[in-house]
Amino acid sequence: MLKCRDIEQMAGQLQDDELNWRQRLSMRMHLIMCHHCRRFLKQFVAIKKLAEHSVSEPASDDEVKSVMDKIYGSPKG
Amino acid sequence: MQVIFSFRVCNDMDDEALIIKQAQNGDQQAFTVLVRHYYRLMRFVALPIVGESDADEIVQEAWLTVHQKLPQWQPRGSFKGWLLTITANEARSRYRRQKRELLSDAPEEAPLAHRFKKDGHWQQPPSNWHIDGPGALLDKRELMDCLNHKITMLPEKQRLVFGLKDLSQMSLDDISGFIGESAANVRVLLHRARATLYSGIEQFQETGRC
Repeated sequence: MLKCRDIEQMAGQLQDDELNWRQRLSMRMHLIMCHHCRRFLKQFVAIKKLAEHSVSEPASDDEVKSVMDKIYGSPKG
Repeated sequence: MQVIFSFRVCNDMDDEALIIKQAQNGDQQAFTVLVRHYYRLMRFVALPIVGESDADEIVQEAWLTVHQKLPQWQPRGSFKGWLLTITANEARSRYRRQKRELLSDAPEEAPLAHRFKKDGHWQQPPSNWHIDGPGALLDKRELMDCLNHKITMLPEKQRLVFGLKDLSQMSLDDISGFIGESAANVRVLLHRARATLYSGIEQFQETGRC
């Protein structure tokens, strides 16, 4: 029977779809009984989405200009 | 040819497919919208591979490649995934040329190990972030800033693995070959990165401090 510590360790593999059916079944059995681990898992898998969003700030004008200069060359004058 | 930059035309990426199509047809304004939208994410992928001093140059090189290949791009896969793959490839080429040495991350305890009792059950259970989905948290500016800070504070290898796996969708095997660590070690580094970020968000949710 899996312990909560096991669920924490396996959370990433579940997220990355790397568990076999037996491991997934064991995890599901634990999650049915443990609301702490259900909460943990739900929040753990949200990290990726949050992280992606946190580094998705729009670029500054200078950053955009550096790219456009690279492609088209600096405007003269 | 005089190129006129118009950077604040439209930041609305609601219809990304249309903007990409316009950029493919040579619409420079549409192209700048894409650059503005994806630049920081691409920089984040490049940063741990090539370092702070070269990250912007790598992103510029990546956009040059994107510009050249954009007319042939087919919307069969994710545009973002395509951009990040190009960025990671540019960064990897630079990395190989420089043979940059990654710092060894100091050994450390697993970030959440202290949260469990000896019998393996929670000693300090996870607090409730009050989310129905990640979208509920996305509008919290301070939380996003804190998470961004926590990402930049990750040990270098963890940040590299996290960036390559979770942001540029590289496979564990490819990451393993790239950084010269076993797949098992890559898995450990990835889990530590995610667990550290989890703890960081939880602390922010509980205390309001980053």
